[in-house]
Amino acid sequence: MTATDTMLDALDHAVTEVLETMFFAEPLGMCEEPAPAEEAEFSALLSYRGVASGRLSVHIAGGAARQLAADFLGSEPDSPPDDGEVSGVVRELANMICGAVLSRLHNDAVFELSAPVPCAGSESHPALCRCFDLGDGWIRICIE
Amino acid sequence: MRLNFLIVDDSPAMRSFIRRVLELSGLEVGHCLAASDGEQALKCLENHWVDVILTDINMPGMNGEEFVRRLEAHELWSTIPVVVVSTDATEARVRQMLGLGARGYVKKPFLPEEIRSEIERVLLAANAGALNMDPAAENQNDFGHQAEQTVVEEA
Repeated sequence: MTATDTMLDALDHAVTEVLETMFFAEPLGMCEEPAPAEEAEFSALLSYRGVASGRLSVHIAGGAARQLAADFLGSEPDSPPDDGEVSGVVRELANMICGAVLSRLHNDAVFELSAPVPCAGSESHPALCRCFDLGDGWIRICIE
Repeated sequence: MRLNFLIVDDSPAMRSFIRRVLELSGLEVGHCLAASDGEQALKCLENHWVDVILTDINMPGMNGEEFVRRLEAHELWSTIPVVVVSTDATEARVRQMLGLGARGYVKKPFLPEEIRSEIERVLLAANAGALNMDPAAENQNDFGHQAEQTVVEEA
């Protein structure tokens, strides 16, 4: 397995684990065509440093983001989360995915993760990316 | 016996999630205080007593590592069990935080039963230590029931 395959495998498992455990969501599979990050309605970016350093970004379509946020926050259907709350949940999602990936790749190392920040979808960086179909929309995660 | 918690995490979404999970977990939850970093958490403890502290590690301002160090250095606060709740759960980090004084560790993402189980474990160990009891005693079952028995025995 190449280093790229190893990282993508870790990313796949991390995304599935986080979505299923905390968001009660299950990726339906890879996007048929990778969605361009600049079409995301919500995006978040964080950096990590330790034995390896880099960045991870999450870009997600509006419908999917709102559903994930509602499930995470336990919102009632008649009181959906506002855009600020959705953005906060997407940042936390990025945080958890990054931690899960790093734990898989470097289990005996200490990392520092920056606080995730909102970013424009066009800020996606050249990196390894995966796009998952969530049913309500897509989510694209990039890691370098 | 209702348990009072202090949740320390810079993410409002995660603080809300943890609070909801605690309430749904079956634990008897009293007050759930919240802080966005270690500094704010220490200020909170100056005015409020809690039974358990749940803390993240990576936070702007005072991070979880420094926060646990400060708790351990305090005569009273060092007796409050701390459970780390963090995405960072590499073996090295877990060893580090437990070495600093944290009593438990829950890795994000987590299931509600995982956080309940870890909270019950650290509280049982803390109570057993305080009363010099054997934490593996046969008559221990649900934590809430055991806590009530302990209070009666002390009286």
